[in-house]
Amino acid sequence: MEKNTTVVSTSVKILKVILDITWYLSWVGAGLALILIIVALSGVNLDQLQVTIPAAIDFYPENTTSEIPYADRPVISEIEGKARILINPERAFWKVLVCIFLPTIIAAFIWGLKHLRLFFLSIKKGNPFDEENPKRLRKLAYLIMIGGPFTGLGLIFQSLFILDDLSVPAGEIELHPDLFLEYVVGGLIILVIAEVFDAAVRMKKEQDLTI
Amino acid sequence: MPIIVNLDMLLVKRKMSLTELSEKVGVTIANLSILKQNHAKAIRFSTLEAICEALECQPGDILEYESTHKE
Repeated sequence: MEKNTTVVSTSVKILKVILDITWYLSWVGAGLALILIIVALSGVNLDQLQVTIPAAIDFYPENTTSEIPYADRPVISEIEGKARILINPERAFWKVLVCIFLPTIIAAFIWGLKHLRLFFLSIKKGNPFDEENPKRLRKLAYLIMIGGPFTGLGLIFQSLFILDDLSVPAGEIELHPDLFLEYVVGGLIILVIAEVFDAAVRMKKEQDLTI
Repeated sequence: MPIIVNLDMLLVKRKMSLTELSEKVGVTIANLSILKQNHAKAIRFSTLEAICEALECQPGDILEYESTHKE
């Protein structure tokens, strides 16, 4: 029994450290995103810079020495299969990406993490069946269910936007739409767990009010 | 809730305070207060027995059923 308590408390401590580090790192990420937005909007000359972004594109090069036809255009980085794109931050598309997609994703991540930390805090305080916890779990579930397909749509959108302008080394290129439906399944599982928590909260309330 | 707890009425009749009852029954004042204010969801037979003994009454004196259906 004693051993079990120690294991639980250690795992709780480790989880707390992980969540805290993620929380502070996400704020660092938010700060970096803010700097990127300022840079993107301020018109600083970034001609020499290349940034790698993910894309819903599969790329199969003909050979490893394929040369890039137009170096001034967005370039597919030479990854076999799921490709990433090298883009110059001077392009208007980059500004849309930095000013709309990036803040949305970071804000959603911080919002979800905030609820996860509050949920964890209630467990740490010894009150896992807090009335707010099922609501928090539902919020997290909806965030994951919407966030996955939203990211997938964003990648498809950005790939379509960039496809005509893409400088492709000799090889095959395929649009590879992925809506990350596994996230929807993950969200559904969390929704079911939220219902279990809801039932547990009701039972605890009844137990507490039994004299 | 259609079950009404008449604990406050019985306490007045017996001229007993909630603290006194709490000491006799062995239930905290907070829990007796929940019972008195009709916020309780359930009552254990052991608690009911102890209250009946302390107040020298029957369970029916403490609990009352009031129908919610209007005729």
